[in-house]
Amino acid sequence: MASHFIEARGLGFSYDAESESDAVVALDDISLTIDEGEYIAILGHNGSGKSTLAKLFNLILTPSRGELILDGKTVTSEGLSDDEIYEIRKKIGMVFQNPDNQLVATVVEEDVAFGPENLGVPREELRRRVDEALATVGMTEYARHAPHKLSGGQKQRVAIAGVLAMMPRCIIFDESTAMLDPLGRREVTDVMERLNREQNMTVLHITHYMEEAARASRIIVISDGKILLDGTPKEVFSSVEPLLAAGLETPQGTELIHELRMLGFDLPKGCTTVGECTDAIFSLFKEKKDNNDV
Amino acid sequence: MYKLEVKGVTHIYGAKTPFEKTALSAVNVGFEAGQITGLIGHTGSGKSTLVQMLNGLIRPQSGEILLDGEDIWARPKEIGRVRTRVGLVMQYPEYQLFDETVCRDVGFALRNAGMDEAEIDARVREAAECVGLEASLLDKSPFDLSGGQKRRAAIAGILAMRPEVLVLDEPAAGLDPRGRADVLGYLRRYRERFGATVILVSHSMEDMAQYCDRVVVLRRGEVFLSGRVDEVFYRSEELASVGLDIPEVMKIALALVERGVPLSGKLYTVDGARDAILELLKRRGC
Repeated sequence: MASHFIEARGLGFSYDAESESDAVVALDDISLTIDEGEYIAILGHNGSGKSTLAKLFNLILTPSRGELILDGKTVTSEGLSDDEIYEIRKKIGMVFQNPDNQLVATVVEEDVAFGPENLGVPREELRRRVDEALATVGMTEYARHAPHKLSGGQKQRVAIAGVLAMMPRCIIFDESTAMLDPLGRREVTDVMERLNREQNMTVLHITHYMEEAARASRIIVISDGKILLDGTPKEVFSSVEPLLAAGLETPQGTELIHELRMLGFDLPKGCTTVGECTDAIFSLFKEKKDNNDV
Repeated sequence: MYKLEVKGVTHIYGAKTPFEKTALSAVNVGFEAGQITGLIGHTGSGKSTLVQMLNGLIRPQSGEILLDGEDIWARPKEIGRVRTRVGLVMQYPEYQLFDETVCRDVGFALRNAGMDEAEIDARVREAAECVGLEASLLDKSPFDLSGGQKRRAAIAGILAMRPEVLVLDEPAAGLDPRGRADVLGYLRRYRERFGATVILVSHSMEDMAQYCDRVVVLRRGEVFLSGRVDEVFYRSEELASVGLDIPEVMKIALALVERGVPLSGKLYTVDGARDAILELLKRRGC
């Protein structure tokens, strides 16, 4: 059987691990596997450890305990050499929350070229990569624009293009939609989905928006440094009580159905989309009507 | 009379240059006393310009901002007093924390205003309580707080002035669901306790539905829609035309209505939709 793209075995991380008294355990005993081409949403309350997990996958942080296997390369608390780290980061890119903190150049296409240029990618290849990356995120016409004049959603798409120009196989979005308006959020999530569908890109999307999470094919919920739930959106959002206890919520439709179920109505668990929820609730009225007819 | 009123305000950036941009064009909006009004609009709608005008950070090029019926720019030298009566919480206000302790930071504006220490202390404690910040955190450095605590400390710094009008630009952005509910809940309680008028800028239609009495939608520097939450939300097609979305639960309710289930009521919140469904089932069941 082919090995997994990312695998964690008893992975743990503590901040200030040097001094035992001050150590803060951010992640504890995480074991999971992620295959190439998956589209995963990661949910968790503020301080749950979800961003720490993302930073481990990208080797911004080194594990304190356990093992992490990234595309066949095992990482332990020993860490890796700089060269090995750069190899991993080429494969696993990251887009952060604040669009203003991750653009470095004064022209969009130069910003996109920044990563591969540092890798010493030859000129023609660089040109090709930048053009392709900008086309993928729909920002070709802004290639010569100044990044600071773009909208939040456009800036994030430029940041994504910068990662794409490194030709990664996986992109981690660490709350990359949190600071955007609804239009910007839609632009960025559309790009995520397209990359996953058309280029088989592995996408890890950390978010506080449940409707965004519902669009992924798998959801991992982290709470207090541990994995609380891991499954399809249907499975995860069926577990309303544990989600609420972890300071999270469900999509509104799921919540509505949950409340009706609590009142004794016979409705299916795990409806997430507007269509599913509408159908489920509609059935209540249909039955009543049928009964009346009898 | 409105508590705060924007009357015929126009504002153009870089007028008579090639970069001329009309941010607001003949805008009229009234904010009623004691109500929570939501302000929505996309990037470039003029929202930020308007918000900064409400407490006198930007002076309108034409038109007036009336506080209790008086033009706030009638005596420009006294604009500072308007800023204590109209408190503005900017986006990501925790970036503005700077003092040695939370207590000093929250009391900063009061100290500047020359209030005596005993009163400052009482006000700081009251503001901290308003946002659910434990007293034990007051002696800590603001930089040792968690993200959610920092946000609340920064909001407390404005509440300590006991503003009559509280304007908040995306106060819940970046917080997790529980943090969002906490912060928005505290605002509602501040309104109730002091009878304050609250203006809430948010991108979340769900939060608008849940917490606001009225909604104003801005579009390209003009008021596009304005009214009670239910009035505005029932115009879902117009909202969609400016890229705004009604809450998901309302979509479900309206889809049911379309399929012949005559639901009515506050369909834009989960509780409202649930009650409408129960009500109708009860009537049908009889």
